Amino acid sequence: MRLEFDRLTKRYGDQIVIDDITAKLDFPHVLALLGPSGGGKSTLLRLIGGLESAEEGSLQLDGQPVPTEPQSLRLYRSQIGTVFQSWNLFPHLDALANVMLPLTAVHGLTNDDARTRALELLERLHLANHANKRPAELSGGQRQRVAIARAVAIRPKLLLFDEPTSALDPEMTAEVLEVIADLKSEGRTFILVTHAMNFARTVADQVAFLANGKIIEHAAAEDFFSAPQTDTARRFLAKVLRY
Amino acid sequence: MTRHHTINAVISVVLAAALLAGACFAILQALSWDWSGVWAYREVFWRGWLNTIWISSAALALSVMLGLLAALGRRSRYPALRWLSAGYVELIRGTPLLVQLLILFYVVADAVGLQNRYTAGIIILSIFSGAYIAEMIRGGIESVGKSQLESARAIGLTRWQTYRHVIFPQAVRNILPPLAGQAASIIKDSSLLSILGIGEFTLAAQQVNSATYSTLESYLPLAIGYLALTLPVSLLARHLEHKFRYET
Repeated sequence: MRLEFDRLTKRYGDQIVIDDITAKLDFPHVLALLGPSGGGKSTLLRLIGGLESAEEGSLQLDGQPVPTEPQSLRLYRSQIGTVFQSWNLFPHLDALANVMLPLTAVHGLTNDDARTRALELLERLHLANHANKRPAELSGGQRQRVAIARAVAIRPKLLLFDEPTSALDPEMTAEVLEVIADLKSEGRTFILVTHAMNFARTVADQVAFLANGKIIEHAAAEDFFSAPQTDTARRFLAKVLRY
Repeated sequence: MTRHHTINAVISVVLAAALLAGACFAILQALSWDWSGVWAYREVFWRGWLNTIWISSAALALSVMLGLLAALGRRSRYPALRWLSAGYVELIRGTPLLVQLLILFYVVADAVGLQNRYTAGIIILSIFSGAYIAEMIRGGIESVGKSQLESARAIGLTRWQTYRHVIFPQAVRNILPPLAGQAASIIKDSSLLSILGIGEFTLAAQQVNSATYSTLESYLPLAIGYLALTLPVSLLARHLEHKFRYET
């Protein structure tokens, strides 16, 4: 997959969050966006997902610009599976209905087809026994796996993970990371914002390092972790990998 | 409701009834009761009471629709609709129902040629109540978290689908308890329609009073008749509040 940014800029009021990024990123399957908090990783991910719109510049995915017109933007978003830090499941629906809703409401599946597909996925994510529980009855790790099932069920061309384990304890983090690693071995394409460095190192093909609203460097994952090119990245890695 | 709460409720009701009975008894001693005159008019009471029920029901249904429209209007993309809805809500909530009845009935209804006083009364009561319901619905909608809307957007739901599948089902639990309370208000407020000559419960009692000259015997059943309607509705409101508070 190829991502191209051309003079991309995003502001919230006076604050510049994405600062004039121009870059081409090629990655076979998995891209990790790394960097210090507040550096613009999540915002960049949301721009890619069509959840935010840029003030200036443009963004292309496999040569296709992210649309700006509301109707085609909605269509664009419906083809991308997004997993949020705090799962954002619908609390009034049980796990099964959460996975089914986009299938029936947006992707035109019949109820039966959607149910079959959703149950299949829930089973694969070891959630078969929890299909009829509402989010409040599930653990954080289970909720995040339901959210992943919801994102994967639509057979997206791209998956986005926005710090999927930041709200979880270590054990739950492990169960969610395992699922994400499985997605890679199934050959799915996704972009991941994470603070779990060792996980990023094993799962990512390519890394983009962001700080202060800019992509400071991008490289193959192994190269980035073994030989970062910039001082900022070196300092960052030295700090986060120390413990 | 737990057993404990049930016992509490029963004790409260018994206490209130005892107090009321005591007060009635005192008055009964002071005045010489004469129910015979009023009893002859029981049909009038009955019909007025039934009228109050259907007038209030119709007004509740209509005001929920008006409230929903105004609440959605306030969240509209179009500024004109937002101003219209805000203007309606503030204007109505800022003036007494009695004043609205006088103006809307004697000026507006007259001007547009609305002859049927029942229809006019129901519409005016609905306009009044709709403004309050609009705020309840707006509050309910706004209580649905931002992350929910974000999720709906990420999935690709349309605006209408977001309301239908995400916002309304979650907002309802916040709207229902105050809405039940508003239903009780409508029942009580409908008594003001008597000044327009609408044959509801209060007007019926006034008619019986002027025919029999037995004031207390006419108005005591009136109060009890209203309580018989509002108490169950209030209990329902309390029950809904309780139910939705724990079931998340």
